[in-house]
Amino acid sequence: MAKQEENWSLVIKPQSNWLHLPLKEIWAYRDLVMIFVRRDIVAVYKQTVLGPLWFFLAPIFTVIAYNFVFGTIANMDTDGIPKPVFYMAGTTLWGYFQTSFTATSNTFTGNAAIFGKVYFPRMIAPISTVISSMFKFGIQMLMFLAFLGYYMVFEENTLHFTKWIFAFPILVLMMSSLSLGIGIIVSALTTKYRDLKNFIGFGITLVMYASPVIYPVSAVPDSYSWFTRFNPIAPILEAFRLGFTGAGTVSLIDLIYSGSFILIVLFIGLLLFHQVEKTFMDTV
Amino acid sequence: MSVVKVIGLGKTYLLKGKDKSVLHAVKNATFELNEGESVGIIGRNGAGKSTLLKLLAGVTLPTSGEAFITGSFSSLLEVGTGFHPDLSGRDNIFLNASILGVSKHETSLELANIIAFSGVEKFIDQPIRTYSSGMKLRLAFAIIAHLKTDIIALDEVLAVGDSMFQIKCMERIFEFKKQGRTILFVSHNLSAINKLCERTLVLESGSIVFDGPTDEALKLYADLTNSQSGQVVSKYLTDLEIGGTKSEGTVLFSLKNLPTNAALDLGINIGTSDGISLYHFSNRFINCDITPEDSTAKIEVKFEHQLKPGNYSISIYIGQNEQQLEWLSNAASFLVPAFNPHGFHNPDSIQGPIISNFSISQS
Repeated sequence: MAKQEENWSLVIKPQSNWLHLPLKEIWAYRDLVMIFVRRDIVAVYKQTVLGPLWFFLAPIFTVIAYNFVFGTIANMDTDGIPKPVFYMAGTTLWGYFQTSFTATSNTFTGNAAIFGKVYFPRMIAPISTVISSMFKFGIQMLMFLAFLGYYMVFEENTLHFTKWIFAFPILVLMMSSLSLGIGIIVSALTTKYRDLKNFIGFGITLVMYASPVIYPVSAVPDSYSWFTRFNPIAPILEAFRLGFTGAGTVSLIDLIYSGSFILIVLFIGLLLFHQVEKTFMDTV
Repeated sequence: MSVVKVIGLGKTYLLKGKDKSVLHAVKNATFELNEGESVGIIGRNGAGKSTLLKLLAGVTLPTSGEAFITGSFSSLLEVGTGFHPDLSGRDNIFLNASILGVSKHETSLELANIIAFSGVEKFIDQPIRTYSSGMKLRLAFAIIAHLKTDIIALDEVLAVGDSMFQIKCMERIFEFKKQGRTILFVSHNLSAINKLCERTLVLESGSIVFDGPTDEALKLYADLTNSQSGQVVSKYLTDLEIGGTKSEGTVLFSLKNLPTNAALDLGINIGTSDGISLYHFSNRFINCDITPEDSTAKIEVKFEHQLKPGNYSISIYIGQNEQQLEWLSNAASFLVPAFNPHGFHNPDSIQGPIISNFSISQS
């Protein structure tokens, strides 16, 4: 019997292995990933009057607001670098995490119509979301570089690149993996605990305040430093700023900690997601 | 050679609520499909047809049993899955095809054929939100029509669109059959099943109650739907029995628990499944007084009809003293057995439900 089973191209069974990661299957559907990415980008471009201009407007207004509230009124420390550059650096990378996480955490509810009709590895949906969010991030990154370039050339300050700049691709990969990991955990949990949805919006704001987005790690009082030390997002943001602006507090150990944390989150996320994707259609 | 082998497949849903009851949507389904075979699945609403196909599609997992499939397999529960309104027709072809598991390369090879088949060439680079629903449907079906999979399962996906579209779809499915592909066809369209499938499974409350030649399956299904009597939930009506031949019908039922013994006002409607009333019979039209005895009455309705083969819906009105006691909408189905109207082989190509004698001659 077991021998016969091998000849079938598709086997449908009640339960499969807990520890099954459908990586091979995801690879087989890579065309679909690219098509979903294209769909997301084109849809954003076509839906609104201003199109991708929004990608510029949102961070610019955010930076203006931060500059006024946290910079001018609260007069918070920015590690000795110009305030607008500091906030722009923070919002650019953080913005990617936020966009990507918010979209992936909606995987099951947002795709219920498709998931109910056709089978494909469900991970395709959050993976393509993370990639399409990268497009928006890319545009904002260009804007940040233009901003940075202006301040470096025309203004008197301490801005300079450091060797950490070479870690940039890894930092982006870390941010996307983290947003994917937490996103799929939340999306898996929201299918069972709908209340969680209400938490996502302010939860992400809380996490932002807990991360060095609008303040540098160096400005955190010693008695609270454990907080940023255990926050896996902190080293990524600090390394990013250290690489591009020359100011930041980060060590390789911090990044390794952060990377390990992300791997564990991603692994738990994949397992949880895989459990839910099998039963999800029965609960909606 | 069997290409699909289903062994004891079952799906149980836990129903939410205090009593924690379970629903056996599919029970112990066992059957095989042989290569090149066209097999129909019929059954009443809720019999488990869609769930069975969802299990095969992999959209939901079975709670028991196994299914084995060899060769490429498409399970189509819907046409145009994933269509995005802001994308062009062309982009949506790629999107939908890749959701169905077709690679970008294969789609680009078939692209010209798909566009030509869809009949929306002129608008293919326009976003499909500008399309009419008919255009979207044609585009969606054009994609399915060019699938290269060996085994195709269809769940009522063609029960949409106008009659011309339906004919085009059926023609294409017959082509699939000619190409030697294996087809699993779920439909309420009994004449389509009759023409396409040599073998048919009858599902009833989640179980396969029959697996065999289509004509026998249709007979059994007719019996099943006609003996629906016991299942009508009504305070007043019991023992509903319905019989239909190609030109006549009978509806028998008993009334009980009537509030008074005043004269009854009965209405019997025969309509299409989508709610259009075709025949309306009432004792008041023919001045027939029906007065119950001891709050009960036995009713027999006999009528002639000119309906083409298919499944129709019966609704029953019960009134007394100018007041409605009950309106049993879609209480049961009325089945007109398969025959060839006018000796013509294809009742589907006759539009509308009515067949009347006529002559056309050259003068």
